Amino acid sequence: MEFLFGAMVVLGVPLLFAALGGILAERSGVLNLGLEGLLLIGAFCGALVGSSTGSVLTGVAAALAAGLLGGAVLALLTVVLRADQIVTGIAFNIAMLGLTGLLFGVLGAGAFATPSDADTRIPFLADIPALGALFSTHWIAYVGYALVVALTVVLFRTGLGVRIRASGENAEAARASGVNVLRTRFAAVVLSGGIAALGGAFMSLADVHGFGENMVDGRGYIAFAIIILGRWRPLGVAAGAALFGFAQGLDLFAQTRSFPLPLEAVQAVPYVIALATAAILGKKARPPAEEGRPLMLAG
Amino acid sequence: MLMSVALLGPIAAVVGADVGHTYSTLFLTSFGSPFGIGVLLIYSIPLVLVGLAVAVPYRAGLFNIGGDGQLLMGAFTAMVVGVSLPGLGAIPGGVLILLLAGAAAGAFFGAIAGALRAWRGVSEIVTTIMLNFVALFLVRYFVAGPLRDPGLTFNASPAVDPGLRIAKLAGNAGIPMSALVAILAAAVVAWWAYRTRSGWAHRMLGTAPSFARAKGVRVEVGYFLALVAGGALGGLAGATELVGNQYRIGFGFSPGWGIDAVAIALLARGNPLAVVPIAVFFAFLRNGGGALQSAVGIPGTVVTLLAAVPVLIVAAVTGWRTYRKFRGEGG
Repeated sequence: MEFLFGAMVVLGVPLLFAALGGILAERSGVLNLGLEGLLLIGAFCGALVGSSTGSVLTGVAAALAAGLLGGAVLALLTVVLRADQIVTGIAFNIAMLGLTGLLFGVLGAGAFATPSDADTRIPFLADIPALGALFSTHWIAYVGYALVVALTVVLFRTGLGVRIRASGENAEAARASGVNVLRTRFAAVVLSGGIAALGGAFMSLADVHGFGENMVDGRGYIAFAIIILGRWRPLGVAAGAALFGFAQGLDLFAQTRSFPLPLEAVQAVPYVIALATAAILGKKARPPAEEGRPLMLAG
Repeated sequence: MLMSVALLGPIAAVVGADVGHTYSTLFLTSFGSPFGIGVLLIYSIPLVLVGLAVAVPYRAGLFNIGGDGQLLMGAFTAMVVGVSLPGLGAIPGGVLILLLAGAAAGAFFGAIAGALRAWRGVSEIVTTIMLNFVALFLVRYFVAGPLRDPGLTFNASPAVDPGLRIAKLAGNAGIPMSALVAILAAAVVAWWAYRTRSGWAHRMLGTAPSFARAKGVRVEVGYFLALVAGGALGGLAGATELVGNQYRIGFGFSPGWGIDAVAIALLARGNPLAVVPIAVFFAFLRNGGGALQSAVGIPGTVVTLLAAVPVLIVAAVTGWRTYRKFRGEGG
């Protein structure tokens, strides 16, 4: 069981970062479909810089910077230029797959051999049976946990959070009450890029210690199922990421011992739950009202 | 599209490859020999069909990101029908049953997303993404388990009977006859979109949904049917790929056509006839990309980047123009 929970953490943390970045953008009214590409550039820059400087910390900083930059590109296109959010996100993902693949091929795998630092055990918490796996992992994961708390507080307990959510629910009313919707959305999408890229940094620096072409392999799309399950709340997506991480972890688990059920059936379960949740709750499980619509106001 | 091709030169120069050789490799891989043209067509066929699978709902203002799931289900269902009814191969036109079965399976997956969109208000974007994963796990389970071909050293389904395949002409050149399926599908969709009343009503759903409702168009039914039709085309893409090219289903059946198709449908602005040349162009890039690595040492993924850049630019220009027009009208 210990092993399974460990795998859940390792596989769930990138999903957590991606989904947290996703809800920040969505809460402000922008559907950020570029999470896959953001994870990729985070993984790529984290490994490249981590490897050349020999420091995990600078690798993480580089991934964050690259994610913010990627987020800024997405924000420029979707928020300022009002490009279609779905098409932009998809094309961004394709472009990043091409760009990271190209540079990886040119630089060679050797340039991405990252240093590894030991996991950080949190005293006492790490000794809890099974759940202790959550607290004896790489420090990047703790940044993710902290973000769950921070985003919850910011979104639901601060004036800034009210402005972000107002931009996402009714841009016109938000503007009438003095919110700069354009600026709010721009900042939310830039930050969502930085957050998602940290998930990629976790993959390359804390998990596989290197980079591989298309190593994100669809995780950026899984995040959207997690967001539905988590109903656009940070704590909810944390639970959703754990569920999906657990289901993926079974794959590793089943390679070492016999497993009584068809593995693929178990892995498909979280998606079916997410679909069923959407079907049953219908409009009650709805995204922020403005999501996906370009801002037609001037400011 | 010229832009994508133009971008390759500077990239090649930066990487240190011979620019002229890079271009000649890109073009000659597809157009230098009959064989190259055959491969180009083989790459094009699924892209045309999945491009249509995205374009049809796109005309109604819906995004079908589920092309990969639909085509996988289409191919899988066609394979199951073909393998369990080997007698079909002896009947002329038996292969059509496989294509229909594939389209039906894709339509079923489209219908799930369509019903959720129409009557439960759930975004088709996320449901089609999730259904991709469901299809992937479902097919993976069967081709690695109950339906695995025991004669193979890798996980894949049995191959469909030779009588149930669509031929490739002229031996080695291998001009695939399944191209006819793609061309026919594009023509039928174009005829429907521009020459029928329902095609017009469908377009209204995308451009002016409240007008469509006022005109008596049943918007919910329209959304549902748009995704059913998209799913059917996606399923047809999978079945056509199965009987025309791969014959069996392994783990890497689709290299991500469903995602490319979203880019293709946007560049075509939902026009079914424009989908064809744009899909062929994407296939041209993919085909050339494979050769660049060995010929001039540029990683083949460069073409993925080249394909995406024009999409981003078109999306930005379209979005900005729409916004300016809207503001100009005092909206």
